[in-house]
Amino acid sequence: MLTNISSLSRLVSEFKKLPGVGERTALRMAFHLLKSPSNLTMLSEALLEVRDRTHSCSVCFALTEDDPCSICSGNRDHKAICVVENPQDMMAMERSNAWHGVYHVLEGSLSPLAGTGPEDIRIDELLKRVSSGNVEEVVIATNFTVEGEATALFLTKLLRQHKVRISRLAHGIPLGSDIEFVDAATVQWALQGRNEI
Amino acid sequence: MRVKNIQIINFRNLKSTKIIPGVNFNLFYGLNGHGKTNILEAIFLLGSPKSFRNAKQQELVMHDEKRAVVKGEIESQRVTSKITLTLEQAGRRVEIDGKMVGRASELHGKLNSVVFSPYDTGMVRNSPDSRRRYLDRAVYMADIRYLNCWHNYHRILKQRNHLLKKSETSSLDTWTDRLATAGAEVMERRLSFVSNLDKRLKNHYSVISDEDKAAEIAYQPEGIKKTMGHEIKEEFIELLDRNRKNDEKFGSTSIGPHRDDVFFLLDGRPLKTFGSQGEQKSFVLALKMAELEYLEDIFGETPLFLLDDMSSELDTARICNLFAALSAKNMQVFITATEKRAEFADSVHLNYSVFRICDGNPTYEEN
Ligand SMILES: [Zn+2]
Repeated sequence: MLTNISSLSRLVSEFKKLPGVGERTALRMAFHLLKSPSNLTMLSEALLEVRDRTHSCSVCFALTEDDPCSICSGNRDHKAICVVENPQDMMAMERSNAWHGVYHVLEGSLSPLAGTGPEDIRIDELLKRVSSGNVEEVVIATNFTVEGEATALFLTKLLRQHKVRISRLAHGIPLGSDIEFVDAATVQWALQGRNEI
Repeated sequence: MRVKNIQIINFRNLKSTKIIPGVNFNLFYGLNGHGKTNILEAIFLLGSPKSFRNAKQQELVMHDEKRAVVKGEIESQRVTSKITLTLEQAGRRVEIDGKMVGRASELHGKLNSVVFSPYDTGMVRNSPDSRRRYLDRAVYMADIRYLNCWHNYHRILKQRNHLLKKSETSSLDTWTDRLATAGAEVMERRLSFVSNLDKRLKNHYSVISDEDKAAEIAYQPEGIKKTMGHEIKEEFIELLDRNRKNDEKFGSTSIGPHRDDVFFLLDGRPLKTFGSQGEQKSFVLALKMAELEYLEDIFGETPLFLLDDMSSELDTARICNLFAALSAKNMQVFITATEKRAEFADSVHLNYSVFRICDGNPTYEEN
């Protein structure tokens, strides 16, 4: 430990639990805060506030301060559900302004190695929403990783038993990029997922 | 493709070595343990994500040093680029012309090398995994997508094996399906590579060995008869389902491309049991020449040829045949040997440079 002041050591230890933060960065952050007591107060208040006020939406499991969340209670197309792995993915979809339906956050993906099975993520809840009868379309927007793809396949098999249109998010060439500079793997994916126009 | 110069720092026993090789043949000779093979390995690593000696990263860094650095100026498609390779505990970093490279695949095709070393002749008699390692490395050189699908397959395999050890099986069908998709891609790419190699093999074998026997390389994934990706997938799923009880009992997947073998045949008989030692060496050398030519076709440029420990691996007749074949290509060749042998000068029809290696230091010798 770089310090013998126990309260400071404790703060540094907490910072070090954050992703991408090592001992040196943690110490720098701690000293930066100590320079201005008002910063310290604001940070501690913000931490407590986010702890007390946020929770997951009881319908879609998005991160929210209200229940149901503003999207579930808003003027959206409730017949179309976009399934994502976590709240960050949902925020990314929202930033695109391209989705007018609602969401379902799985809170994870299938990964036996991480001890996550179908019952550990919000699959039952999704099926309940779908079988309520008002849902016409499900867009699966899990990540294009080994785990995300397995989750998508698992969901597809279950959803086929319901009368809904199922689709998978397309993957392909990033917007604004020249095809000649895109790696071969991405070009191949994009070709496989091509659309008729 | 050519290496114009190479600088090697803290790499195995090489403290600081700089070599400006000749454009065609280069011989590194000297006593064993003085770092000849380490130089070949460093050259190889400039264009490949893994060493041909199956070495772990930390073995490559000199004892008590933090990092090894290999810098090379290489020429490919008439363009010269500088590659800097930094090997550390944490992993490897690659810079091309001063710019950090994110993925290993960006290095792909910049500097292809085909290696012939004692490790390779050993694979004929060793267990299937050494032949599989050879195959994987060779397919990767020729096929940029292979690394990605190989990694996918192995990640899914790990997930499925973990699931097999537990009683929860509701998602097993899903993981089996994903494994079959990824596995079929691995098998399809291997099949295509091996058939391309096989087409070229017979000719090279007769040139190297002066024998008329028919050399053949064959890959047939266990339990699979089809050769097209989607058909392989269907067959592979059936196979996995049939083995499911057994796999659950042992907690691991018993069949698939991670267990497959590749077969070497001479006149239709297994080389491993029916081939003499000389025939085995000729075969592997012919395999390497076939690989060289296949890479030449794909990239439109001849790769480097790295011949490790020539003296112990090959007799005079084979060396002469090999050098004559390589001389026809105006390519760059690197050779290590314990001594300067007369046949070296005699059978090479191109210019050649000789370096004596002592304690990791090269001395250029006039010839
Ligand atoms: Zn909601």
